[in-house]
Amino acid sequence: MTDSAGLFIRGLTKTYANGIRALSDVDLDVPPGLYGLLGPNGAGKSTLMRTLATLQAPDCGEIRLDGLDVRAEPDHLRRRLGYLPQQIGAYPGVSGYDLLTRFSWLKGRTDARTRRAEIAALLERVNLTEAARRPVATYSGGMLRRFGIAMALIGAPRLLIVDEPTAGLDPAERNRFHRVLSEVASEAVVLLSTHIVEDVENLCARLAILAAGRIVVEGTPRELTARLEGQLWAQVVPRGEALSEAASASTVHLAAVPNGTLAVAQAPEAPSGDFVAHRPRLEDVYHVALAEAGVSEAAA
Amino acid sequence: MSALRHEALDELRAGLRSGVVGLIYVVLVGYLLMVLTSSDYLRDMGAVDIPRNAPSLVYLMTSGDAFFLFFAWAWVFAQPIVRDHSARLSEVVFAAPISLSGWLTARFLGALGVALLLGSSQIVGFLVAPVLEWLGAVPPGSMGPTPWGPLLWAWLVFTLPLAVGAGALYTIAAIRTRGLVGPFTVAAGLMTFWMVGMIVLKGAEVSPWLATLVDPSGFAEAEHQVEHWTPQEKSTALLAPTPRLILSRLLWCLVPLALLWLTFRRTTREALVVEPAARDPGSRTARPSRTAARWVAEPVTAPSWWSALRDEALWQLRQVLLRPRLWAALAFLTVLAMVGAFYHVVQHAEGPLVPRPERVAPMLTEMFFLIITFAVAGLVGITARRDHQIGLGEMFDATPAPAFVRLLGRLVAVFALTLILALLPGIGALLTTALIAPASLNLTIPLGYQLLVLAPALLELAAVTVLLHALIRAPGPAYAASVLAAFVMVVNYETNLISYPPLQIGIPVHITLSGLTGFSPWLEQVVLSGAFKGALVILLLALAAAVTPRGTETGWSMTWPLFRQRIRGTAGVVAGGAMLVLLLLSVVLHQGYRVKGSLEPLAVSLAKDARWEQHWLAAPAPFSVTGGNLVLRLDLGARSLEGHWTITGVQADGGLLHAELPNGFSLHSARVQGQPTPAIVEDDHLALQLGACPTNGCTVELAWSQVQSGWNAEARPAWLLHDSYWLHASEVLPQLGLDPKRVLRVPADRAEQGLRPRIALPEDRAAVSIDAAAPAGRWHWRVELVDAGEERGSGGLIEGPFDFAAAWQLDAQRSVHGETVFIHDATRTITAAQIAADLVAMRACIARRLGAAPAVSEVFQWPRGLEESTLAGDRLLLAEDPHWDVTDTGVGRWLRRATIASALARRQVRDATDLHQGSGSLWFSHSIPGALGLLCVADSDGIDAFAAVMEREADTVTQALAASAVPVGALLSARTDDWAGDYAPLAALDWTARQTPASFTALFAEIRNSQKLAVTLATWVGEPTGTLILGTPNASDLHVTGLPESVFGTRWHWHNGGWRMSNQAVEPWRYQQQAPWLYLDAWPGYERSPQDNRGSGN
Repeated sequence: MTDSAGLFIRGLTKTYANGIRALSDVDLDVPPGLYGLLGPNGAGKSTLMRTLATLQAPDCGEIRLDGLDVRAEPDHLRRRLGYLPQQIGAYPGVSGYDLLTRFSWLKGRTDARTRRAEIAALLERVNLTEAARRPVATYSGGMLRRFGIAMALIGAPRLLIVDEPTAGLDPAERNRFHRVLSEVASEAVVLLSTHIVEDVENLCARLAILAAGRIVVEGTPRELTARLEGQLWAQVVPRGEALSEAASASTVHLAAVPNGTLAVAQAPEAPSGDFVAHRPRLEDVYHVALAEAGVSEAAA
Repeated sequence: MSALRHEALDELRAGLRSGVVGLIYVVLVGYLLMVLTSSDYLRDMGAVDIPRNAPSLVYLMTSGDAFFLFFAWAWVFAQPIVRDHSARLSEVVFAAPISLSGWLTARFLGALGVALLLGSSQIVGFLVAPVLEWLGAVPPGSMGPTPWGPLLWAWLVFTLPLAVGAGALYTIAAIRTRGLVGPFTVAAGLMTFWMVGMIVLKGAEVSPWLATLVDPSGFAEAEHQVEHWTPQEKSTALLAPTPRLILSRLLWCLVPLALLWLTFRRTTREALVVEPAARDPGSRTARPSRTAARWVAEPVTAPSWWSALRDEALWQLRQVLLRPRLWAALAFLTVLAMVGAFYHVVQHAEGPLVPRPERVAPMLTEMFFLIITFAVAGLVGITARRDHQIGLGEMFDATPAPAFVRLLGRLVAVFALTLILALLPGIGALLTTALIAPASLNLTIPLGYQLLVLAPALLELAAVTVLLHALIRAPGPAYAASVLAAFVMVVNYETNLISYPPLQIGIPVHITLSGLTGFSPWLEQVVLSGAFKGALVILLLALAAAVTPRGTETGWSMTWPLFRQRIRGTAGVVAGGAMLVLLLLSVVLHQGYRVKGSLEPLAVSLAKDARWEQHWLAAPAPFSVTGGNLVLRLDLGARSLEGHWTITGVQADGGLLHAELPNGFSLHSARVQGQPTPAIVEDDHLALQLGACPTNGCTVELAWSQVQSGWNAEARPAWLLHDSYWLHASEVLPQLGLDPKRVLRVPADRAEQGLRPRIALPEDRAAVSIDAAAPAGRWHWRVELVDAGEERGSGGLIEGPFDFAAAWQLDAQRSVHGETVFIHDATRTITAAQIAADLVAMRACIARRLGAAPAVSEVFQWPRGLEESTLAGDRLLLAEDPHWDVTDTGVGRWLRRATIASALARRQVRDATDLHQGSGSLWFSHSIPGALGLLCVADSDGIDAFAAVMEREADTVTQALAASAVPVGALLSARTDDWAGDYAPLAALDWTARQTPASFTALFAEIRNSQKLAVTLATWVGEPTGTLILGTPNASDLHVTGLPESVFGTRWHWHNGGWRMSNQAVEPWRYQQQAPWLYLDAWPGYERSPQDNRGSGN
């Protein structure tokens, strides 16, 4: 990453009127490519997304995109921004093509010929060409998400922010979506906010974990999992049995498995004889990070 | 059962928590209290001498509020279905082990509880009303005892059945649509039924039965009963459960309940839970672009935001215009407009009338104002919030397009929508005229009226709506606030609570259009008022731009800093410019309405009249004159008049000559015997010191000017325009004498102004002349135009009371019939010929009955709204409305004949008696001429016509007595412009029919000599007839039944605000000896239902 290419965030803080501090001194360097943002509910991911999308003003902090101060020139960012929020509704009485056309000139595509060409290309890219003339209100959930990404891609954005893009999609739709994101990431900064650790693990070159408004962990998946090599142990506790006290103290997360509960613990050595060495995955990194940050999963 | 009771209570609690109850109570109770403090509005409702919490007002307000509650109830009854659906809990709820129909019933009952609570706001309002007296907001004694019985009765008759029935319909619609769309559509349908019932059926007096049955609120029946009640009944009566009222309540309650029961039985859980599968519209395959696969996107550079604005505006316009349902609704309303025009005009009870654009367009605008106002509030709200979709709104806010692109694009759509709705009545008027009276078709008037008069007002409402939706983020409260704003504007339109036109936001300027003058009397007023409204619109939209949020942060803590930031930019510049324009225009409008015009708050008028009474009425002021010379110079360009009047032979007891002054009068000089004399000009009155006059009287000279370029707010056109003038002397000149109409009649007004309770009128010889500027004399007059040829001026000699008329308009048509010239507009040539025939017939009748009839050299189509019909000199000023609109057959023509005959008779009587407006003068100025008018209709058109005209007049009298703006008292001291003017002709019918020309001549001569009207009349007719004639109103009701024919009936006297049955037997006699005939009662009272007085001897 060159000195100025990419998204650069320093000291970003946001407190809402009800006193909740949603972002607390967030620092992030997001290079071009796919960057994952993980975190539990209420961590501040959506707040961060909306702040970057200029939909909210932070209390303080610095945001630069390719070296340009976003807070000083928000319109400059908006011209280079693609934003897909967590949910999009169905616009009544309007076809997909019409809505894309409208969004296009609002993104600054004011030349009609260029606009038409771009829309046709995007519709084909998200496989909605045949459904383009249908009302958006008739689209299925997956079609709506694809439509949303098409809208977000108008104007060849330099920064693409997608908030929980694959929630509720079937595996085929998710795969399709991932392929689109990967293509875009080859030339832009794509910030992917999600609960689905697997998506980040498979797609993102780098990631950060946000909890209680702070970045608790940041790095590549390999770097983050490498830190936990040799420290994780796993045991399958049969149904109806309890974990031993010693094991409970070092357990970082529990997962349901067909024959009981998989307990993963972090310790220099196996907490008890039933534990075996566990190869760390990104999900383990996630739970360890939350635990180290003092954010309980129950509260999350 | 317990679970279902919990569900019902839960629904009730949810409704109470929603805030809608509080909001409705604040608005409706506030509105009621506002109405009760407005004596103007209560005066218009005929509630001047009854308590302000009288039962009649309870019935009208309770049934009238239903119109606003329609939408509030729609929301309430939709909640049981919508709430769970919105929260995506439907599946959970309907998977529970409860009876579905039981659950639906329980929720319905809970919502009904909330609805009944909303509908009971009137009860709370009337219970709170006595606080107004305690606060001093109403005069002491204005409130009567709490009307518990009427409150409960009104709730049982109006609120309960409508809440149940409408609630059932809303619930059915909510089940079908699982959203608010269905219930709100039903609410719109109920409003439409209300409109058809109230405006089309009741307003055009088609059928009280139909009107009551079609109207879901019951207001039509309430109004129909109340408007025929005496003050006593208004203060005490329970609304009668007439068969049509009972049937209406049962229909609107039980039929929907039955439908609801069926719906509950047939509704399944699946229908409530599963989303309906979207119909596949047969997806059209987009043509694949040849470049699609190869096209590579480049980043956006140098966008043209003005191009984006153009595209955005067109897109928003398409969203409005390409909606089949909108056009279907507009087509329906247009058809409704045409039906309304047909019933209100063509089939009008006083018609048939020709549907001319100048009549139909304003009428339809008034008829549809209510529904158009609410439509603007709703549809503009939808347009303003179109982008408020989950997630999409954020995406739009994150685009780089400047805020003005989307905002102005929306405003273009708002503007287009408002214009379309404004044009709707005009289109209806055009189509009606095109179909029924194509010769009268005129595009300018209806379209001009809609664009110049209605559109600016609707744009004000639209701007308020846009601002409210910008300020209030949540859709529910935003829509509620904008509907409330529309409601407030409608209330003001109906009640005139705010009477200063520039402050009447959302209300069209009041004008009256004439086929002769068109817009010319109004152009300046309309254009400047329109500009004022336009500037206000721009200000409101600039404020909306300053507060329109961008982003996801909400709340007032964000709105204020945003406003402060944006108001420093373009929005502030625009707002500042708009405010500057408003300021300048408000000065101009103030000049037009207050300084030059006749607009005056009622309180100021009452205070003026009170000072006049205190200053001048106590001293003796009888006067006489012998004649004089008048020259009026009119300057059409400046719309001003200069007058010079020499009055000879002036003698006045008390040494003062009084005159009542017209609007805009400015005295330049006053001379007596050639010497300047002190003159007091105050409170629209002139008092001139005469000093010592010679035995043959003084010569008085008055020089003055009048500017006629001001405006008024009562839709009365100016008589002096740039291209025409319509001068009637008794309306334009100072009127010599004291005007009894200025004496305050309402006890509360007198008390407030510090006047004695006892009403004293000026002596007969001190009062102004009837229909004349001065008493009988030898009067020369001349009207000249500045910088114009002689053909546009006129002059003449009057020997008698001084009254004349002169008029000129370049485009007016002249047609000659016999020796009379008719001046009218180009579309009324055939009407002129019909009027000519009427004039010949009526002159002959009056000559036959009075011994002579005045000559008529010219007949003018007197512009609509200017004044009532009258004969001024030898010129008949026949009011355009309705007499130049009626067709050649029917009640309308008979009424025109009666009017012509009355005008001829009044002039004849006035000339013979030289009457002043003294005690009892009304008998001679209105009773006898009016009765002669009716008798001439009988002579010329037969008994059927006579009975039909009497029926119309009797109904008018009944309503006039009920709606009197002053307490009903004796005819001796009554004003002609109130109930007495309608009552007097019918009360004189019997006596007048029995007189001969010789008896009239003798009586008139006696009056002229003595000028003691009441005494002379009593001597002439004997007692107790004399007392009955000039006393409080009397009524008879004869019925003819049986074979052989027999007549029986009852008589009533008016006493203490109501009718008291008399113990005197009726004395029926036949009018016309050959069959068919009509029976009249031989006493001075009006026949309440003439239609059953007919006999034929068979």
